[in-house]
Amino acid sequence: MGAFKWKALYWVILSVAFLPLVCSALLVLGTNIFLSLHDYTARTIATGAPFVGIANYSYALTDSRFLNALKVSFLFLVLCVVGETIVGVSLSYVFAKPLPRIISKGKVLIILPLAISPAAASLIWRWFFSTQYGIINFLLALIGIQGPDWTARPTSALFAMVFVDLWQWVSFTFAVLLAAMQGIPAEVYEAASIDGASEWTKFWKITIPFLKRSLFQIVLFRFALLLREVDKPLILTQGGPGMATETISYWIYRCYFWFSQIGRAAAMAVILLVIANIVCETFWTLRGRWQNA
Amino acid sequence: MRRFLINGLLLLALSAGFLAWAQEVPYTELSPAMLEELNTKLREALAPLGPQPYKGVVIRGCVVRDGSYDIAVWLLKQSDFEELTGITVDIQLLEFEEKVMQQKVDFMGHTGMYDIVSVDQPQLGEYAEAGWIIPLDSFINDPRFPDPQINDIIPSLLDTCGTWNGKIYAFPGPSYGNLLGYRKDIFIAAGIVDWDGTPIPPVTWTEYLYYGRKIREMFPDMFAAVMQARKGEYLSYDVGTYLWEWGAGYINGCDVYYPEYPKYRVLWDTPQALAALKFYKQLYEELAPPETITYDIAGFVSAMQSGKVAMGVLIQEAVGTPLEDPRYSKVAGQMLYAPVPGKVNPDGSITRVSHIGGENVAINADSRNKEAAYLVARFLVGPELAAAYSYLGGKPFRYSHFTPEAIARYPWLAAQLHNIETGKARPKIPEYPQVSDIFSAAFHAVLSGQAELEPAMRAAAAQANALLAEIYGGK
Repeated sequence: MGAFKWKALYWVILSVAFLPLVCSALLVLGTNIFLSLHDYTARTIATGAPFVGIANYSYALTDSRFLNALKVSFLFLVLCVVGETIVGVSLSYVFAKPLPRIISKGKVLIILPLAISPAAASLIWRWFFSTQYGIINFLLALIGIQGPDWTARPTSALFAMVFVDLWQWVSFTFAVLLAAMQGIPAEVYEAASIDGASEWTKFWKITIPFLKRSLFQIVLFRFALLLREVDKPLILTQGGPGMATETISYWIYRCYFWFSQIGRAAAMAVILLVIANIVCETFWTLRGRWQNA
Repeated sequence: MRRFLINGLLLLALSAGFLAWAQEVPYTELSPAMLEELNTKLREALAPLGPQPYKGVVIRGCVVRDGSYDIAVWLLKQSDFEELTGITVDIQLLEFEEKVMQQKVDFMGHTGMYDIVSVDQPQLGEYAEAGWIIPLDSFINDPRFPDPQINDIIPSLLDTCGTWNGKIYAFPGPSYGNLLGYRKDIFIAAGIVDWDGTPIPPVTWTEYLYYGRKIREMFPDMFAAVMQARKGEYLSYDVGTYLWEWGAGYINGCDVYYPEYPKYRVLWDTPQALAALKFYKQLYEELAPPETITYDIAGFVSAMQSGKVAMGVLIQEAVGTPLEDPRYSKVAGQMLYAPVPGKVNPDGSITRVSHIGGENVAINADSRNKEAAYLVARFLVGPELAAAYSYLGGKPFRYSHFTPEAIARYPWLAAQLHNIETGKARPKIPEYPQVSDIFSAAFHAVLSGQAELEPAMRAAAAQANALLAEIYGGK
């Protein structure tokens, strides 16, 4: 086949793969923006929603619930990403070394939680955290500790959400970083050992720099997934107690499905998209500088 | 390879065994005679329509899984309804939140996937105003269709659960009306008995608090109250009885009317409401399990079934069967039921208000077979199934549910009728879900210790009033 035909085939395949994705994304985004510029509510759906311009946007940006949800989401995101990264790096560092076969098999158990859907995981842990019937407080009671009301207090409720997320997603961090660590040439560590470097120095000066690219990908990927987190506040805490665990996506879900405030929910979703884009752009810029450092 | 095959076969065998064990033929108490009686009534009612008038039509429904709809759907499928009408009935039973989501996705996408839907009482206005469900009056008045016997429906339910702006949009379905449930054994052990040794239920909230404290003192591991206090509509529902009995309510002009306040103003920050909410908080702090504020329906029922709660104002889903089935409940045979306690008024009278409501069956505006859908809705909650439905434990909404056999079987039914006839229901305006959310978020923060009652409820009331003023300002 001539070079031209190969190039044409290349573009056809690319188009078949990407065009539907791009078109559907544009269609969804366009519909969302259209909804956000109109006052779509249960009252106006049947009779026709009036055009309100940016009124829904200004409502969202001055709505205390929305702003609180942004704050909770940011806190939840930071705690999850930092926690998963630290635990993932630690676990992968341990498992990257030669280990007895039986311990090495433990990798499968670490990755297993990722096979469970987030909703199922939240449901399982909702019962684990139960003060009356949960296994966590039962085990704590065996060693003489009275467990807290995990999802009935603001701090412990947020912690419970973070813990469940960590339990499930550290598997992902672990798998990615383990593969990356196993790709680090052994000679680099040997040379460092010969030069008298300590374990900590080798970890900080060799392992972490080699993992930069993977760490960046993990942080960006988890950031995107955590922004849309609905399962845990929905199933574990209902956004409570009070508004302590109301994430932004959960609040948008409530506005759309429960209050039928469709226009306002659409505006919040667009604002969230803009924030996500700004953060991703910032990440990408910082990534370039960090990797070159 | 051989090990893989053996493991695979073993797993298959275990799964099959588990599924066989888990299979349960429900409602074996329905006798052939009862089923035949039901079918006779169906044949009489459907005779004018002729044989199989809707042959080949499939009617799909999305209704709440609440135990009662399970019974109604099972009865309809067991009966000759499908054979007589030619309609194939395919009804999905879903948990409440999932049901709402599935319905709204269908409505907003106009897919018409569901022909009939169950609508929770406070959402009736929202669904009707949005044009998602259609009025049933034209079908009810159409002489072709069997008479739904509207007079048999308890009027308070028809008014609160089925009617919006003067039109019937839904047939009332399994209702809820709370009752007091209390433990016979604990009351006797605590000495809360009459001269003849029979346990005395609290008649007023003062007595409730007194008995509760006594029980807590004598049995430190036992709780004396439980609420469905999870953030969201659970909590909003649960405080209803207290708000009404203390002389307050949710939204003026909707569930109650006090001329000293303007219409469409929330009432949570009135002195009466603050007193009611303060008492509710007191009950929670003194008598209830700490994790009560995480209890939804399942949590509430489990708490009662566990035997760790001596008494409580029972949500409908906890009344009767869930607590009396020894397979699931440690308190089977120990529960007694009475009307909810009342608030003592300054003149010495006692105000008792049960909180009523229900999941009611309506027709999707996008249904492509509205007549067939109407028939299914009409018979799903119709008088023909009433005797069998109530005998199997379905929650009542028609006078014909209160048969001697059902009352003999479920002693709480006698108290239930009075509760439903005289009870109150939440507002059903389209803005209620959002207003309710504002309330529950604020009050839940109070219960969990994050906020003080008065400032939190005043701030929430201001927010809710601003929202209502946008729609109803000046009305």
